[in-house]
Amino acid sequence: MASRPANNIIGRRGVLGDLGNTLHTLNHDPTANLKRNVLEPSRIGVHQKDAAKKTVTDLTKKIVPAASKENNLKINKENAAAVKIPCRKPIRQESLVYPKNKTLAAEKPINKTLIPTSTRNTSLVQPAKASLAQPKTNLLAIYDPDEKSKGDPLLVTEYVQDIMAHLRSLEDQFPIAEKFLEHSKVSPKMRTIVVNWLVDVHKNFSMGLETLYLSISILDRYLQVNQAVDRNILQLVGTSALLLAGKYEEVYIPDLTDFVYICDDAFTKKQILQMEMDICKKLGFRMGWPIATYFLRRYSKVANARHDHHNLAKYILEAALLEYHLAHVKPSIQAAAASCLALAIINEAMNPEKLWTPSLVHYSKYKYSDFKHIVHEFARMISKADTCKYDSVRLKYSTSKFGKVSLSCKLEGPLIRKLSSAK
Amino acid sequence: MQKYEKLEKIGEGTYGTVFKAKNRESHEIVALKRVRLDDDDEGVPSSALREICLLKELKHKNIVRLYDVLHSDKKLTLVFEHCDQDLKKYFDSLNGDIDLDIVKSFMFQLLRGLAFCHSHNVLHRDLKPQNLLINKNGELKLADFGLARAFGIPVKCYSAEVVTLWYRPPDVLFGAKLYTTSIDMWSAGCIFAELANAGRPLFPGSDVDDQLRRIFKLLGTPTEDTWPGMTQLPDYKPFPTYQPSSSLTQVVSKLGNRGRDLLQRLLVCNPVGRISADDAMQHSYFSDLNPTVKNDRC
Repeated sequence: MASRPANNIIGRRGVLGDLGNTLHTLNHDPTANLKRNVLEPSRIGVHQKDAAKKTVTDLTKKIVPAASKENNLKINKENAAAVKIPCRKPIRQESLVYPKNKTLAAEKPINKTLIPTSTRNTSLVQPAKASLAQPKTNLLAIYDPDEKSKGDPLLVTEYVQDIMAHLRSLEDQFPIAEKFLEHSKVSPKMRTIVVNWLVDVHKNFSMGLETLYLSISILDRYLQVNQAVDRNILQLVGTSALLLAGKYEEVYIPDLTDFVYICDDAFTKKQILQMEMDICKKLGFRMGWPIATYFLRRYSKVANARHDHHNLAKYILEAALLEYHLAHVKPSIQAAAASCLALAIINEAMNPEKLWTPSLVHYSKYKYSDFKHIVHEFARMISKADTCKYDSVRLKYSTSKFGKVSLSCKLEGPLIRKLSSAK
Repeated sequence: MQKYEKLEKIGEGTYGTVFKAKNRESHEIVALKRVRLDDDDEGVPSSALREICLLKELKHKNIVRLYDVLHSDKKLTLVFEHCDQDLKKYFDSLNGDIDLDIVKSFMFQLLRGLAFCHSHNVLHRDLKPQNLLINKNGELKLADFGLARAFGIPVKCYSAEVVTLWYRPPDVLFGAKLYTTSIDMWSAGCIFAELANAGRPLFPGSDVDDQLRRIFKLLGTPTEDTWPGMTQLPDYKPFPTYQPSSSLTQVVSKLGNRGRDLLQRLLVCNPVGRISADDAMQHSYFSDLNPTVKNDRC
């Protein structure tokens, strides 16, 4: 494994042994902090002890392109309102059984006028939930998001339906239980602190978004199976989870010494590696879990989402990483709720359900009612965001790189007020 | 290692030694891949981690099965299903002659394993005869996922240092970091030709330049017209303009017209134009494939 030199470390954070020993609790004034960070592209230097290190790291950052850039995301700039494009081809059916019924679909001429999808689907395998979720839909209202992308190999249109079906099946195989910390020595608040810290470290390591989601997914699953983890080693678990996620996802990862550094030398290399192995063992070496952004990208494409919509949905999903009570919600559901809510916020629509088009229902397999409760949870989370102590995600999305979405006044509008007070 | 009795060393994988071994209880023959974990090292190598994680999710008849992972302080042992030999060793035993039905069967199984990987968002990135295992029943399995990785949609930039030189596609030879399932399809094309020639490699280049030259001499040098964006690739450099040679017929003389057509659809310099594993399986070359191979599903 090739590694970058050790000097690209930026943020260095206190151990979590003492819950007070973290950045955000130091004389914390959320507004002051926010202003400072809007001016600076990153939080580098706020607590930097060594100015020389900062220069080196800034240089490194310029040289190494951030892998997390989603600059390849082909998001159509047309408005989401233009979704209802008649479907000229029969929509390829998804099947959970390999190989797929490709020829079947091609051989059977389908009367394109007014056949409800639910009827056509009867002979094909659909997830049980999906068949329930399919309302009677006019085929003409379903937009084929892949029609225009066939010439772009990076969008892998050939396999996208199979891959999405595969990711949905993986979600069902490795669930996180609701209230998974009930019998753990780790409290929900301690989890929030360590996730908040991971968001910062991850950003300073310039790692991809997948790595962040994966590391938290590893952390939660490990905490779920190992109730003995306490506050003294929680940060160690977080560090090793990030190391593992990096090894799985990244082309280059920081040196192990950099991981020691980010914990303020509270743990040794050996401890980090022992924890790495323990995580692998306890999770049976399974780490290929789908993450919410995989689903979000798909929904954004189906919705013809604009950048501001997509960024806002990303912000909501990342902010949700800190919410213990949402950790058990499936990524595909979270992504659907975030996508729908973001559409409603940007379009200043008071009823998000109306924006969840038949195409989105078709491709996500979810009706609005399947994730309505999560939309309400997200709205409550957003309404509390500016008073929340753990604001690494909010600060990250207040930069121009993300269109300052977390500062949008629409996040305090009537829609959020209405939804956050809903039961 | 109490559970297994080591019988003999089989070879070296991307990151560890492989042994043939016997389960002391069930007497089942397995392959053990041993990964050493040194104290001063970086822990579990990412190649081993990916291979284990990916193979845990890829259960298919044409993909080598990972049974178990054993761990001690100093090493990690991957327990695989055992196959009799790899395709390279099989070639060595052929003396330059191969049954064309076997070529068709192996090629189909290779494509079926690949289609399964690709539809499960995994790129293999190191297809070559040494990494294809075969057993006495004529089954072929993709193995050695040490360079494999999962991909998202849209695909991001990954490492350009992938695929063994002879099987590396022109876009990656030109330094492309943005590639997708087509990377494996080029390798599949090279292996197809090698199968048809009973083990004679199609493009045995000595370095990147020589590799590209061999490719362009056979297929013609691509231009911005045939491959838009080629000249923008990180390591692009101009090559002499070779015309597509008619010698493909001679190069794979034993393959019929349909086989040659499939080969030509795999060996397309522009990655956008390369046929997918799914579509390749539908090619007319396989219309007379032995039905027991075709219907033999996972």
